[in-house]
Parts: sequence; C-alpha cells; structure tokens
Amino acid sequence: MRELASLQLAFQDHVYKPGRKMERAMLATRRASAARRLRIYANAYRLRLAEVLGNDYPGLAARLGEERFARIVRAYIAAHPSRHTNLRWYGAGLARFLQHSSRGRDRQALAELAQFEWALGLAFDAADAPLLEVDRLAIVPPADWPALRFVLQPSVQLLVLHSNAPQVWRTARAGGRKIAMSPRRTAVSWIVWRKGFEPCYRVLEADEAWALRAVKHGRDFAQICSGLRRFAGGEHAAQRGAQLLRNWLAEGLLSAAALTSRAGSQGRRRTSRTRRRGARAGA
Amino acid sequence: MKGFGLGLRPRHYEAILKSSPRVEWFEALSENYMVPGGRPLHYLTRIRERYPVVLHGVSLSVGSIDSLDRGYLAGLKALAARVEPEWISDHLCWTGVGGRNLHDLMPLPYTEEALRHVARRVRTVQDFLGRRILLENVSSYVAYRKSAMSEWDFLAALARDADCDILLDINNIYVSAFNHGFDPVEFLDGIPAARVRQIHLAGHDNCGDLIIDTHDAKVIGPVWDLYAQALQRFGPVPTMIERDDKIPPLGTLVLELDRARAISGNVLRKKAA
Repeated sequence: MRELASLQLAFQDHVYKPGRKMERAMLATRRASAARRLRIYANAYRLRLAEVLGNDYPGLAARLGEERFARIVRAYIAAHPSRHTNLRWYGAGLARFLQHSSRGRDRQALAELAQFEWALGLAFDAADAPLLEVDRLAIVPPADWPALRFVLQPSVQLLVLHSNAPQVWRTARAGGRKIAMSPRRTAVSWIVWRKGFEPCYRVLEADEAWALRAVKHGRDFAQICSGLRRFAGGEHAAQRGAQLLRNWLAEGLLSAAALTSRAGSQGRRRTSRTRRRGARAGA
Repeated sequence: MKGFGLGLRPRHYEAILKSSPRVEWFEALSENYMVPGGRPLHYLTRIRERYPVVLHGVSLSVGSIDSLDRGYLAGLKALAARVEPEWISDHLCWTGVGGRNLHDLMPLPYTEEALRHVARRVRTVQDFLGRRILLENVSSYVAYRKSAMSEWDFLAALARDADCDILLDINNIYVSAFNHGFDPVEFLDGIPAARVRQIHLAGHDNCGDLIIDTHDAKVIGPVWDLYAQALQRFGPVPTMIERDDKIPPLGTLVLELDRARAISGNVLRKKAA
C-alpha cells in the first residue's frame, strides 16, 4: 500500500499547500496542464468549506460584510483542516478561532455572535424528544412534587454572553440598520432551544438562569424552590418555582423522557404504593 | 425498485408532501440525515412513508489508506435501520488521509495495489452493513501516471472482487471522458451489466479546457445520448437526476425526468423489437 499511501498524502498536501511536486505524478494533456487540473481540487476545497461556513453563519456574514467575512473564513480554513467526516460540524470552532485569532477590538463580541449562531444551528437538528405535558404532571400526587426531577429537552442550551450578540444577530439577519456591538458590564444569560422546527432564543432573568442550570444538574423541585429563595425571598420562592415551571412547559423546554422522582430510585426502601407512584411520574 | 427518481433536497420537502409528484423514488444524501433530529429527519421519515428511498453517501472514503471510520459506519447503519432504504451507495474515491477530510471525491490511481486495498475495504463495509453496496464512478480532473488500467476496468474488477454493485453516473463518464480524452462508450462497454443497479444524470460546467462537475444545470444533449446508449447496453435501470446547486422548483425537475422516461421508453421498445 506504499504507493497508494504516498500518492494520497502528497495529493492532500497539495490541496492544502499547492506546489510543483504533485504535478509530476499526474498526466497532462495539450488542453490542460497538470497544474491546471490540480488547481481544481485545491480551489474546490476552499470554496466548499467557505460555502459551509457561510451557510452556518449567515448572521455573522451579514454583520461583517462580504469582504471581512471572507477574510476570516480564509484564515479559519487555513488554520483548521477539516477533521470531521460530516461537514455539518466543520464550523464548530469558529467562535474560539475569533476569540483567539482575530485582531479586531470587537473580537469578543464577534466570538459571541458566532457562539450564539452556532447554538441556533445546534438547536435546529438537536435530537427529538417528546415534550413534557401539563397533563402528565397533573397526575403526580402533591407529596411527590418536592422530589420531582425534570430533564431539559435536548435542544436546550444555556449561554452566558458579555455582549449584545443576539440583538446584533437579529438585526443582521433582518437586514436592518447596523447596531453597535457593545460589551456589557455584567454577563447576561440566554436560552436557545427548538420549538417545532424553529430555533428560538430569549433572555433569562438571573433566577430563571439559575433554576434552569439547577434542572440541568439534576436538582429536584424542592431544591430548586429552595434555591430561588435567594432571588425571590422565602415566601415567594415556591410561587416563582411554579411560575417558571408553567412557562417551561408552555415553551416546550422540558422533555417527557425522564421525569423522575426520588421515590423511583429509592423504591426498595419504600412501600409498594410509593413505588407505583414513582413509576407513574417517571414512566 | 424500478422507475425514475430525484435527489431529495430540503427546498422540495413541502412540495413533495403537498403534491405527491410523479416520481417513483427519492435518493437521500446520507450525511444530511446523520444528525440527531429536527427538521431533516422529520421530513425524511414522512417522505419515506410515501416513497421508496435509497441512501447515497459522500463520506465513506472507501479508497483511503486511513482505517475505515467505524463511527461513520455505525451512524450509517443506524440511519439505514430507520429509513429502510432499497440500497446504500457511495463513491469510488477517497476523501482524506491522516484523520483529515478534504470533503471531495478524490480519484484513485487505478493500480493492482489500489484494487486489492479497496476491494478488501468494500467487503468489510458490506459485512458491517449486512448488505451489498453500490459504488459510483466519480468525475475527475486528474489522472495518475501510475495508473495501470482504465477506470472502467478498475470498477469492473472491483465489483467482481468485492461483490459490490455499481451506480453508474452517466454525466461523470461524460465529464471524465472529456477531461481525459477517452471514449465514453468504451467505458460503458467495460462495465458488467449485471452489476449496474442505478443511474445518475446531472448537469455540468464546460470551461473549454476542462469540464467541471457542478450539478447545477440541466442535463445536456450529449449526456442524454450517452444515457440512451447505456440503456441499450444495460436495459432498464432505475435512473435519477441529481441537482445540488441552483436547484429549480420540484415541477421543473419532474419535467426533466420525463425526458429520461421518454428516452428509456424509446430505447427499451426498440431493444425489445
């Protein structure tokens, strides 16, 4: 396999960095030289990856304008030979690239714009999961509520941004007047998810951001309500917890797949009645 | 599976479900549906409920010297279990080495060494998927000095040695014949008829010195003529039009497919007479 290996390695190197060596391995005709023929592969590689990045980051492209976006894309392609089998994932590193390689003063905001847009893309084709419905919760006995644990649907992503990237993205996509990219003194939390087939996003209040992270980390409803005390005061925490839960259900943020209560996992030490209740909540 | 198909493209999803076009089957690009969920898989599932589907991949890299990508193969197998395609195809090419990917259909040198290598890998893939696969001839712009046989001899030998089938892209034969100066009919004559399970038709961009396989235009007259010659040799083979860029409305492609139906009808009637 030595000859095949050496040809493939040399050809790939040529695509990354065209030179004369590979020309000697290829036939030429009167109509087209080996260099001309090889150039098609080198050009196609860059064009294809640039097209993918353009499709994945239309908001960033609109914001930057054709020329600057093309410059960034060229630099990204030069620095990132694809290691992905599926082109779907090639653009995953663009936010980090902008953060570390871009020289502009706006690099932090641009990185966040890319991070936000990539999150929308992830939401687009995230795994499907049946949504948790209100009816399903209605049959959970009150005694089991404190131990209930919820699971976020797979498309949910929680972002902490230090700029107005989502607003900039929305304006850029709408073709509206350019708004300034401004860093914020304090970080703001955002949620990105998919509703139906459409990626959605909205800003999160501090208590909701905390509560969603608590859900993500497997805290039960009692722990969430208890944690909300620091934001809402003792007497309003349970009410706020219930209100957030209602919103999450309405927005389709919770997955039906793994609603569990502690009763389920501790069934062996409980009565059979409790086990049945646990199974009902977690079925 | 018989008849005439189209490449399944996202911009046609709704039109397909609303109009149930006169198309016997669709070809889905495997990688577009090897994603966790959402719109692509939803539509593929709904369209699959109404039409037979075949899966066509671009990332198998069956000719590469790298190890086969087991993760990719597992994903493809899982997709096949979900879609139940009539068959699975990919290309006779390599797409990258050293863990890198050029995302292009890179041509192979047609040597005994490459033949043994690719045949071994095709057998491994087929064992893993539990089915025979189809491999497609690619359009190429370069030819290796080291090649010791023609592309068609290589493909025929591969089908024999690996016991795989062939997806014959008539446009690719035309493009490569122009680019390398061989007779496209000689290509057709070198292909074992019993192995040809599917035919692709597409458009291209003629730059004068070379033809670039762009899949962004109508099928041209000489490619239709070559298609007629292919049918003369291979008999009725499921045929589809592949459009990847500048994709027209569904109805336009359905009309273009009518030309394939008409040519096929003529050739097969004459052949039977």
